[in-house]
Amino acid sequence: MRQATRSLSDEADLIARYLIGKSPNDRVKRRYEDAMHTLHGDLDAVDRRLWKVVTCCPFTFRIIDSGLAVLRPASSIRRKVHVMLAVLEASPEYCEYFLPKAFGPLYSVNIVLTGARAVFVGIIGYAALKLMGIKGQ
Amino acid sequence: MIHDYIVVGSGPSGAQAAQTLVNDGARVAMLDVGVKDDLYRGMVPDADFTSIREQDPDQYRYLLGTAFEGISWGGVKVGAQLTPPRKFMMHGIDRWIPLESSTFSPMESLAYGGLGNGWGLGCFVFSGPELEKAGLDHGKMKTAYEVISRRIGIAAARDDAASYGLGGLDCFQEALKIDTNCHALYEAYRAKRGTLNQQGFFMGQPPMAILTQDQGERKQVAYKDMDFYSDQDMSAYRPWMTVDGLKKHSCFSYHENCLVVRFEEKEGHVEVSVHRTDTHGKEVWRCRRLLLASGVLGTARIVLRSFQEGRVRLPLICNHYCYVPCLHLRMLGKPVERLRTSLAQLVLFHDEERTHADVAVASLFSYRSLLLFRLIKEAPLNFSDGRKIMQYLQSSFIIAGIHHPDAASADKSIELREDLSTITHDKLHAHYALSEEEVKGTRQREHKYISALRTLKCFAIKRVYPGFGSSIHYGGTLPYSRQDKPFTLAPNGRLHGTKYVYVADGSGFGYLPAKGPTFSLMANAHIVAQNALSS
Repeated sequence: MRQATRSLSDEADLIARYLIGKSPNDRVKRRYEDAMHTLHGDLDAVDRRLWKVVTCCPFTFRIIDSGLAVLRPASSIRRKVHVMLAVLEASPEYCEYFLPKAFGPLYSVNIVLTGARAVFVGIIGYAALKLMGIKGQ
Repeated sequence: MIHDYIVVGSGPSGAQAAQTLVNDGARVAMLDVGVKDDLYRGMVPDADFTSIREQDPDQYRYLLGTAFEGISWGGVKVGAQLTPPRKFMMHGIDRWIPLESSTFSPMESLAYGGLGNGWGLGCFVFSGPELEKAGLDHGKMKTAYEVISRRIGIAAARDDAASYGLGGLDCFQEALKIDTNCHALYEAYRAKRGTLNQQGFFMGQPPMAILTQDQGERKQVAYKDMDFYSDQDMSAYRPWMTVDGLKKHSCFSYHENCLVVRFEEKEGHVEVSVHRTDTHGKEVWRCRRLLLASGVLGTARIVLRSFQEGRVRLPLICNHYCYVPCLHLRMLGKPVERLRTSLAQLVLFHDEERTHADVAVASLFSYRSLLLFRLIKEAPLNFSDGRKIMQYLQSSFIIAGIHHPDAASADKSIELREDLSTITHDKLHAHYALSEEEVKGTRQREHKYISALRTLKCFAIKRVYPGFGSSIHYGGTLPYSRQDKPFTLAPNGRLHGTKYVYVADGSGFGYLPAKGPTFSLMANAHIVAQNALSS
């Protein structure tokens, strides 16, 4: 049980780093653990394989998530990330990452670049998953 | 004991029918399952959305749900749009009023106040041609709209859309303030009004059942943007407010945990069979007049059981709709005001022939209080970049909910079949399909909407079809008829084949205009109650 909790806590840390670039506080980690215990996001064989890659090489997270977004949008890995996203959004410490605000023109350029990167990584992710023999849902 | 009147159901129709009866001095008993929210009531703080987000460490409990039920996964389905504090509306449905269908996913409610708890508050007046097609009396409805408007309080504007939404309604309060995003869209519409009007598009503010001035215990709207989570200050009208008020009258009694199963007419009275949802006991109630207002599907179950004529197929109509997330380019990167409502800000009517018949409606919403994570999921992007992009785009999102009118056809029906595995030993089966012609007309119309929005620099990202039944607008199962045919209603609301049973909900509407029907349901319930009083 302790092992499972520690792994969920590590998972929370990994996903939050991927989403907002930093580790979440303990309260958010605990909430993520509660959510995952309640929602039962079990991984199937394909997701387990991909999750192993993500946990071993966290830098692949964006690529794999991008590929899954196109090929297997209902994947349990995406669900884990979605749950973490919801937990972060409903925490006052992290609401600044979600609430609308005024953005300057430079930020607009940044967003255009982010969009371009998202599309590019999407293509890479799609190709990577196809190379791994993963089929669409 | 024989009650003068029994009203079944506490939703918009039941509440207003009971109010009319009580106002006339009648003794009324209301039978209702009356599911209440004991978990979230009192949990949502009396503060604005942004303050809550910035300060409340316990916000996840009502934003996501104590069991995280607000984090839905998978395809779009009926009820998914409900926030955790509103989900109680659907409690007990599968158990007490099961429905099976592979083509139709309706939302029903056994809650105190019924589906009115999740009502979007749009109060649209049906036009003359629409009332005629629905089988409703134009003159009586005009008066009834005024009566209901005074009871519930409506905020509205006299603008281009008024002739479609407000009709000749005179009694209303000052309109709601529009948020920055939709205000910019409205200004764009005003600049292109000529062209759009020529194409049959008319934009304005929807009449809403919300107060902009205090009315009794209810306070004017404070624009806290928590409309999808709680009924703060009771500024938005909900039917439970009417029933709460009725409980103070000595001639009204409310009885919860009562699932009405069937009725049987006896000499001079009606016997109403009730299955108690708390004790599972069976009871028989007696009344001189019975008013059924348990929702179109609920009433159909009761009527079908009561006549026991073997397999009977009833017609079913339901507004089909799609929603279209759009990007409003003028608002890119702009800030959003703190104080606003989550409700529909604008409405765009489409009446190509200018006949006020077969008008389509798009309700336009800005996006904030439903949280960003729901939206990010819909984008085919990785979550990390998706989060960043959606946060930037958030202030420029306009969600257009496009509703289409509907009429009966052979491919839209319900049937009650025996099923011993359920508590009531039966289950409602529904089948709903559009004809090729209907699909074609619908798609063409949506295309025209998307094109009109593009004219206003509001670009559609995609069309989402939540499935038939998810509009939560139903009707037509027991259509009005001047002929004494089984499973139809007399023009006064009496169920043909009975002497004392009236139907006060939307079962009689033989046509559903695209405009939300709730206001018309309440007006019709008032008329039916008057007819029951005078019979």
